[in-house]
Order: sequence, then C-alpha cells, then structure tokens
Amino acid sequence: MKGIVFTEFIEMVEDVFGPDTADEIIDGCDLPNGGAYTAVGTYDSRELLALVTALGKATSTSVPDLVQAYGKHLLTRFVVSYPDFFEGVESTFDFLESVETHIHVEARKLYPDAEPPRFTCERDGDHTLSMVYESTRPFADLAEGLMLGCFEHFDEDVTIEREDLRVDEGSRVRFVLRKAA
Amino acid sequence: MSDAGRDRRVERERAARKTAETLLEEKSRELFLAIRELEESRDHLDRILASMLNALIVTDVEGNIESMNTAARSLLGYEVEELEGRPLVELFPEDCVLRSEGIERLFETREARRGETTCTSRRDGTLQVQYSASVLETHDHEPRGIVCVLQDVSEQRSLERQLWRAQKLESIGQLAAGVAHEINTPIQYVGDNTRFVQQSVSDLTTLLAEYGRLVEKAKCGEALEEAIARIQQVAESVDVEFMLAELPVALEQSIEGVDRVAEIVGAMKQFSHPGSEEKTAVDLNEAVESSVTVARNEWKRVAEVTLDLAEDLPFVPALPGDLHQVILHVVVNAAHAIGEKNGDGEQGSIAVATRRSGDFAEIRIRDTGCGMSDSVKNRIFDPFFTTKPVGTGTGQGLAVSHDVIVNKHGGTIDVETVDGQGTTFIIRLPLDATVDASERPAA
Ligand code: HEM
Repeated sequence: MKGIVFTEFIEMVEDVFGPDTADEIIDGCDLPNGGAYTAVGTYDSRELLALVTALGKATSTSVPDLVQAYGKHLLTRFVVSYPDFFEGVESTFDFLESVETHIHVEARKLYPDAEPPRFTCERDGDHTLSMVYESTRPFADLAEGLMLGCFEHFDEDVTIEREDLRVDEGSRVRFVLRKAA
Repeated sequence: MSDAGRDRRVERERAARKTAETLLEEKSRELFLAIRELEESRDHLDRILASMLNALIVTDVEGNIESMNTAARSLLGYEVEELEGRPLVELFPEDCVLRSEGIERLFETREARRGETTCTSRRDGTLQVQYSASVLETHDHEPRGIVCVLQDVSEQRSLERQLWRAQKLESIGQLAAGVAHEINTPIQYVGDNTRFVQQSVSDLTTLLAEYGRLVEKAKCGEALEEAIARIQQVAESVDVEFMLAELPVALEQSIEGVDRVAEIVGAMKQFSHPGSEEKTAVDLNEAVESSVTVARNEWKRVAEVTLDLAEDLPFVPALPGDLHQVILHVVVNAAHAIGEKNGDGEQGSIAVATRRSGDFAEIRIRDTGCGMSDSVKNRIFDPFFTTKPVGTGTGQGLAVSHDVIVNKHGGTIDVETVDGQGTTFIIRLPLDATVDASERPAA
C-alpha cells in the first residue's frame, strides 16, 4: 500500500489525538521501519491495520469507525493536495464516478506499483448512485469515509446504504448512495 | 511532548526522508535506464527501417507525406523535406487506383490495397513499382495515417519480358521441325511435278522437231510417208496422250503446293515479328487461322481442327506477336492433351470459335483431350508449373499467356475442364483499348 495512506494517517493522529498518542501507537506496533513512512514508499497494508487497531485501543474507539473517520479526513487532504481532481466537478456523484475512470488512473501514473480498488458505478436516475467496491484488501470502511468526506465537501445531503457481498478473497461491498431530493 | 518522544519523532522523520531520497535516486536511475532503452529501441527500429530494401512512406491522417525510409529516398530521389506535406497519391499517375479512388476510401474500408503502377523517380525516370497501402491506426484504432510500401519491379518486369521472348523462341524452335515437315510434303510434289513438266517439254520439243521436218518435206513436194511414220513413232514413245492429260494436273498441283508453302511461311512470319510493344488493330480470326496452320504438325495426327469464326468480329487492339503466341500455345496444349488421352489411336477434335460478346471479343478453344483435375486446374497459371516431363518445356507458357491476356490486354483467360473428357480455354479481350487492368485490389 502506498505510503501516502500511512503518512496522512499518522498526521491525522498527530493533529487529532496529539503527537504523544501517535508516538505511543507507533512504538507499540513494532513496525519493520520503526514508523518512518514516506509518501512515495510502498508498505504492507497490514501495518496500517496494526496502527489503526493500536489507535482503537488507545482511544477506546472501534476500528471501523476510526478507518471511516480517517477516510473523511483524507478527503479534505486530497482537496488540498490534488485540487485539479476537483476542478470543475459540481457534484458528489460526478466526482465519485471519476475515481474509477480518472483519479485512480492518474494515481497509477504517479505510483505504478499502486493497486487502487475497483469501483463499478451505476446511476439509477438523478438521485441514486450504486458503487460496488472490490479490493484485495479490507478497506471498504475507508471508501465509505472518503464518500462521507465528499458529501461534506460538495455540501450535499446523501445517505449511504451498505451491503457486504460475499467473496472468497479480498472484499466486495455495494454502496447505494441516495441524494435527498 | 516528552523529549524522548520528540527525539523519536525527529528520528522517524529523518529516516523517512532518507528512504524518500533513496527511492528518488532509484526512480531517477530507473527513469534513466527506461529512457535509454526507449532510445535504443527507437534507434533499432530506425535501423530496421533504414536497412529495408523496400521503400516505406508514412503519411498523416490527411494522406500527406510525413516520413520516408532510406530506400524510399533513394527510389524517389527526393529528401523527406522536399516531399513532406505533399499528398502521397501525387507520386502515382492519374490512372492508379490509389489516386483515382483517393485515400479516403482506404480510411473507410480499412482494407489494404495492393497493385502495380508506375511512379517517377528524379534520377531514373519512370519506374514500375508494386505497392501496398494500409491504414496505420492509433492504439485505440483511430486512423493515424497510411503506410505505403513500394518495391521497384522494373528489372523484374524486364527479365520477365526476356523470359517471354526466350519462351517464344523455344516454342518457335519446337515448331520449326513440324513446320519443316509441313513444307516438305508440298515441296516434294512440286519438285516431282516440275521434273515431269521438264521431261514433257523436252519430249514435246523432240516431237515438234519431227513435225518441222514433215512441214519441210511437204513444202519441197517430197514423199511424206516416212516422216509421218516417224512422228507416230515418236508420239507413241513419249506417250503424248498421257502427257497432255497430266500436264495441267501437274501444274495445278504445283501451284497448290506453292500456295500451301506460302501460307505456312506467311503464318510463320506472324510469329517471328519482332514483338511490337505497341497495340495495333488485330484480326483475331486471322490470328486463329495462322496459329492453327503453324501448329498443324502438332495436331494433325491426333485431332481434327474445326474453325467457327465470327465474320462480324471487330478488330481488337492488341500486341499481335504476343497474342499469336498465346493462341498457338493453347492450341498446341490442346493437341498434347488429346495425344495424352488417345495415344496414336482415335482422332480427337479441337474446335476453335470466335465471337463477339458484349464489349469483348472471345476465343474458345475446346478439346476432347484428357482434361485436368481441380488441383491441376488451380495451378495452371502459376509460373513454372507443368505436368509435362522435365525437359519438354519451361512451364512458363500458361503463366505468360495469363500475363499477356490479363495484364497486357486487360482481358481474361478462363478454363473449364472435366477430368478425362476435355478442356475449354476461353480468352476474352476488351474491344475498348482504354481498359487497363494492371492494377487490381488486393486479393
Ligand atoms: C483526489 C482523490 C483521490 C486520490 C488522489 C486517490 C489516490 C489513491 C491512492 C494513491 C491509493 C493507494 C493505492 C495503493 O496503495 O495501492 C488509493 C487507495 C484507495 N482509494 Fe483512492 N484516491 C482518491 C479518491 C478516492 C475516493 C473518493 C475513494 C472512495 C470512493 C477512494 C477509495 C480508495 C480506497 C478504498 C483505497 C484503499 C485501497 C483498497 O481499498 O484496496 N479514493 N487511492
């Protein structure tokens, strides 16, 4: 998994819970690189899960809730670091559809070894968008958080209905997004 | 934050920076290697194109010349800069399909075109070239331009012409023996008859001398009995009656023989014509007759030839020497096919018919010979294909015939055959000389 997911996570922990908490959980995880992450590096995604689990213990919060919160935070970071992807995009649905067709495509140009998830989008009228998330990793919560971040960014009232689909390996989740009329 | 905590954080940041720098160096090296590899492969590709013997010209999507390889530059005698931006089709003459149909058609159908045409080289003048033109596509199958490959076949064509001439000489050589035989028979009896006339003239002179003596004696009033008896004696000994009856026959036969020889010589002349490169109006019926005459020795023992020649057949614009050669070839083939089937036994038949069929003049040459299997039929027009024993021919005859009829005359040559029963060759020649079949779409 790309380092940017780690560096942003640690920054968030530092900002929200303070540098001591960040230091504490890193110290407690016994990471191969001692927690010295760089955005351009590539690391085992289980390290992130270990960090999140440690943070959950330290803050008595559930891991899914934390991952989701991180997703929401990450989107605000993307708005700052990658303003081009938001340029001229008017709505959540348009933006979310562009993740598969454009954003993750561009991401792979920057990081050829990246393995972003796959999203299959389908619109049902103006107000409903179905997105099926497929990944070799268990980061549907991150996706959900990123979506929530989008709703806030575009200031739209959207609800998410989530259905975990069965797969033999990795994860597959259908999100049905409904925009308030 | 505790000092120890801060120190650890600084340590982590430093380690992260180091990792990032190492990664950057690695990437930078990868990039360098990738660029070098790309340059090498481009260089390699350039060398391949440069070492190609065929001329390669690439155009943009408008059909304007964009680049050419070394062979193209030397074939055309121009540098890329001189032709850059010029329409590709302008390299070819007006009647070339590529030019007349325009390259839009290529983009529409995406079908490659192949053919033969001429193009002008700055150094060598007009060249005969074989071309292929195909659409160059982008990775998402949008037309990007045209790739045109040219091969100079001028030399090949000239070799083919030489081969054709050699083939012609070869068949003339083969025919010469037959023709000599054909001429020999009439010459023999013309000789016999002439000798008979010579003898008769000498006998008649003797007889006339006796008559002279009789007249002298009568003038002097001498007795005539003895002279008359002498005349009777001489007349009897030279058999005047027989002589007078036979002389006109002998003369008639001699004239016939001489005519026959003249006919054969005339037909032969059609073949030894120094192969004119210009088309002239040719009387197909006459071409058929003289070919049949020249080939007589080939067919007379195995077949009877019947001619059914259309009287209203217009003259055809053609190369007379080449055309005679083709008809002769097909007739001789027919005779051989019959010989192969019947041996020296039963007589077969060769029927040659001419007629007008729309805008074409048609010659049908039908034989009752051995016919051909489908596999043979499919290959008869291939160069060097022959079913005859080694040494009997170059196997060029029908291939060259095909070239003459199809490429040089814009006509067609077809064959209908039933294995074991016979073959019909159908030659059609356009009556309109402007038809040029040298360019065909790719098969
Ligand atoms: C400017 C916007 C975005 C950028 C630049 C971006 C870029 C990336 C990158 C570089 C990764 C790492 C892939 C890897 O480590 O192999 C990633 C992963 C991921 N992205 Fe995005 N992304 C963006 C927006 C989104 C949004 C809006 C969603 C959700 C709808 C999303 C969902 C995910 C998820 C769930 C992953 C985790 C990997 C996984 O699940 O397998 N991304 N993205």
